[in-house]
Amino acid sequence: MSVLELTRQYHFSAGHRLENPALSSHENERVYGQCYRQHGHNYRIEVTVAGEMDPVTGMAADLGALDAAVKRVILDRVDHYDLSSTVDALRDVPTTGENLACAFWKWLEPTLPAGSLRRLVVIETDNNTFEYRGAAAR
Amino acid sequence: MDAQTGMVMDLAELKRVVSDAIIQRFDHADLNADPFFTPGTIPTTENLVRAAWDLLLPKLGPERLWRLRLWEDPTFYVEYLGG
Repeated sequence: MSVLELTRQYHFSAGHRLENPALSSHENERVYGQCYRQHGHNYRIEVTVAGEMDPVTGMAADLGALDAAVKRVILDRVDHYDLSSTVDALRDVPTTGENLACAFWKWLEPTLPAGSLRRLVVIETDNNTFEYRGAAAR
Repeated sequence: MDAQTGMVMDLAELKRVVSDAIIQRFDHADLNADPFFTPGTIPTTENLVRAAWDLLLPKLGPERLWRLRLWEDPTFYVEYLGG
């Protein structure tokens, strides 16, 4: 058995503001600071999948299928949208990097071979990276 | 950790080993023509990272070679931990 991990990077651009409607305007400003204002990011996403080497093809995962799944369930939903107001699936959460990483994992995981998704990373800026390895990870 | 040097491994040695075992063999080479990939083994990034692992392992030893990451381009890499 020979397990390999493949990591692919994608990108999208989107606007958002961080706001929890349960908090007052003053509290939102205190919690989220300048991120309470409308702004945008050129996001990057890293997706890591694991698979066993197929000796016939020399491949451990179908990158074409991964690209298609990421495009369909993530990029097409968020690229060039306002994450805070026009993406129904993100309606109930502040669009922090943490929530985006968890949401993208939930959208993508069912579309991939069972157990193959290992890591989902949302890179919001060069300074801020949010990494999720699923609920089972410590 | 070597208590005297404060190093786990001499990085100059690592650079030399990787250059001798991998870079000089594959850089500007036709991978399809390398004995690792003929006949029938396709030089995918997955197979190339395993070939690089097999070349490095005897030079570094299993206690020192922990992980190998091979970048195919800026958007894609494959990692191998042996086994």
